[in-house]
Amino acid sequence: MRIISVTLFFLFISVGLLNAHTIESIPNPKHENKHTYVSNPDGILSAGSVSELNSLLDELEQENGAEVAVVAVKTIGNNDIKVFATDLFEAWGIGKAEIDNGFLILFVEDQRKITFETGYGLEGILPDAICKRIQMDTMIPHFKEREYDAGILAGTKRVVSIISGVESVSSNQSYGIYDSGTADDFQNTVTTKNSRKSLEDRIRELLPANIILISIILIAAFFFIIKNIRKTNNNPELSNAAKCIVIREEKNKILLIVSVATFFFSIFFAVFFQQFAHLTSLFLTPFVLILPNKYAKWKMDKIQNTPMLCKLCQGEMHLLPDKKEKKYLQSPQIMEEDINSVMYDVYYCEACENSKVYKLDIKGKYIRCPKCENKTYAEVKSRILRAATYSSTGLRRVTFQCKYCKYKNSEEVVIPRKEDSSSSSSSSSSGSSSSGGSFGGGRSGGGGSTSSW
Amino acid sequence: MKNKVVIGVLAFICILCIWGILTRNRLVDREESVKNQWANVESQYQRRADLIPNLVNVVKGYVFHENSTLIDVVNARSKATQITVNLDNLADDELEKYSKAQGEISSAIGRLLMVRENYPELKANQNFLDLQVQLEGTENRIAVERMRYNKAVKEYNASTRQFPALFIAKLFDFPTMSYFEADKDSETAGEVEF
Repeated sequence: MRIISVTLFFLFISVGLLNAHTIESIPNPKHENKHTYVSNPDGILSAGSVSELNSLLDELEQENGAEVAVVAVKTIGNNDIKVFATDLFEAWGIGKAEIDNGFLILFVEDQRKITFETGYGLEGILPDAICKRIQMDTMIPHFKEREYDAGILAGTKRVVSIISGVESVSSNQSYGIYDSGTADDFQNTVTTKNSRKSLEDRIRELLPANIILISIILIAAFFFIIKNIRKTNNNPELSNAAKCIVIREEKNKILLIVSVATFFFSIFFAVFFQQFAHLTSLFLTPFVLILPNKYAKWKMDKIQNTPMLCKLCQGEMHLLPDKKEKKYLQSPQIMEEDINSVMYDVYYCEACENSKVYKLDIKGKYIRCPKCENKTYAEVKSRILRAATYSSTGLRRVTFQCKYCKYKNSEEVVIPRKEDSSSSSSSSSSGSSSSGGSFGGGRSGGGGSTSSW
Repeated sequence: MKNKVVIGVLAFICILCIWGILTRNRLVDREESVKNQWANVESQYQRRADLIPNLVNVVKGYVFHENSTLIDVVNARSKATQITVNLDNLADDELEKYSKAQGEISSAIGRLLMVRENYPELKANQNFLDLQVQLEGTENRIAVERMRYNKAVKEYNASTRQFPALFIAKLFDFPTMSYFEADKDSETAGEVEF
C-alpha cells in the first residue's frame, strides 16, 4: 500500500514538473500569425479574451509600432518569474530593434504572480511604480477572485492606453523623478552591439570573411590553371595549336569546379552561421573568376603563335595554314579533319624543308573503324525491334558505317526494362505555409514590476 | 620551381596579415562591448544611488528613533561613490572592492526598508511604496546588467585566450578583464516583499 502511494506521489510530481514551461516551450505567438500577441498554451484565457487582446494589441502596433506580448501559463517550475520574464523577452526580442518599444505581461498561475517587463524604450512612460500601480489597482483584485480573464484584460487595457498616449501619467502620481529622465539616458547608453543590426551593417561585418573566401577562390583557380598550362605545354606530342585547345577545355573544367565549390561553400556558411550576407560572395565569384580566365587566354595566345623546334636543323617550324597542309596529309586523315573527329597540324621548317604532323583526338561521335582503322566509324541508323516494357527488356538494331571505307555492320543492343518512376519520387513534405513573422528584436533591461495575490 | 616557392610564400604572408588584421579588429570589438556593458552597470548603480536621498527624506518624516539606520544608508552611499573603476587600467581587486561597497549599500537599504514594520503610517505612505517598487526594479536592473557584463567579459576573455588569436592578443597587449563576482551579502540584501 505504501509503495503504491509513494509511487503515485512521485508520478504526480514528475508529471507536474514535466508540464513546467521553459523559455523554449512557450509558443511564440508571432510565429503563427503576424497579428497575434497572446500565448495561451495552457488555456487559462478564454478564446474570447484571446481574440479581444489580439485585436487590441494589433491596433496598438499598427498605431505606433509598440509590441506588447501577453503570456499566461500554469507553471514555470521553480524558475524566478522576473528572471524568466527577462529571458523570455530577450529570446523573443519584443519591440522594434532600434527603439526597443516592447512590453511583456507574464502571468504564472501556480506562483500566483503577475510580472511586467518593460523594454528599454518604454521605461520612461511605464516606470516601475506605474507598472506596480496598474497591477495592484486593476489586476490583483480580479485575480483574488480567480477572474484571470478579467484581470489580464483590465491590466492590458491600461498598459495599452498609457502607451498609446490616451492616458497620460502625471509625475505627481509617483516619485519617479528619475524614471522619466532615464528613457533618454538609456537611448544613449544602450547602443549595444548586441542589438539586431541592419542589413548593411551585417554585410559590412562579413566583408572580411568574404574577402578571405574570394582570395582563396582566386588563388585556387590560378594555382590549378597554371599547373595545368605548364603540364600541357610540356607535352611533346601535342602541337602548339593542339595545346591551346586542350588548355581551353581544362580551363573551363577548372573554372566550373571552382564556381560550384564556391556555391556550396557560401550556402554552407550562410546556413551554418545563420547569416545570409555570406551569399554576397556568390555574386562576386563570376567577376573574380574573370581574372584567371583572362590569364589563361593570354597564355593560350602566346603558345598558339609560338613556332616549334625543328629536330634536324634546330630552326623554327611554323604552322601551315589549312590549304597548304592538305599536301602533307593522307586522304583518310583529310577526311578525319573534315568530319572533325581528329585535328591535324602540320609544321614546316623552311630551312631544311622538314615537316612534322601532329594530331589531336577530338571527342565526338566517331570512333575507330574495325576494318580500316581510321576514326570515321559512326552510328547511322537505329531501329527499335521490340519496345521495352515494365516486365521485359527490349531490343534495338543499330547500324554503324565507316565514312571512308564504307564498311557497314549492324548489331542488336538490349534496351533496359522500364522503371516505375513514381516509386522513386519522395513524398513532398507538407511544410507549414506560415504567414507569420516574429517580434522586432527589441531589448529590455529588467525593468517593470511583479505583484502576487 | 623557384617562382612557385616565392609565390607560395608571398601568398601565405598575405593571408597571415589579413587574418591578423581581422583578429585584432574582432578583439577590439569585443573589448569595446565589455566597456560599453560596464557603463550600463555603472549607470544602474548610479540610478540606485540617486534614489537614496528620496528614500531618506520620506523615512525621515516618520521616523525619529532610527537615526542610525538612516545614517548607515547615507554613509554607505558616500563611501561607494568614492570607489571608481577604470576598465583600461584594472587593478587586481578593483572590481571586487567596488562590488563590495555596492553590496553594503544593498544591505543598508534593506535594513532601512525593514523599519517600516514599526511604523504603520510609513508603510501606507504612497511615496514610500513607490520608492520600494523603484528600488526593487533597480536592483533587478542591476542584476541584469551585471549578468550581461559577465557575458561580454566571457566572450572577450575566451577570444583572447583561444589559439591562435592569443598571439595577436599578446602582441597588442589586450588585457584580461575581470568578472563581476556576486558577494555573499548581496544574496539577501534588497529584498522587498509585500
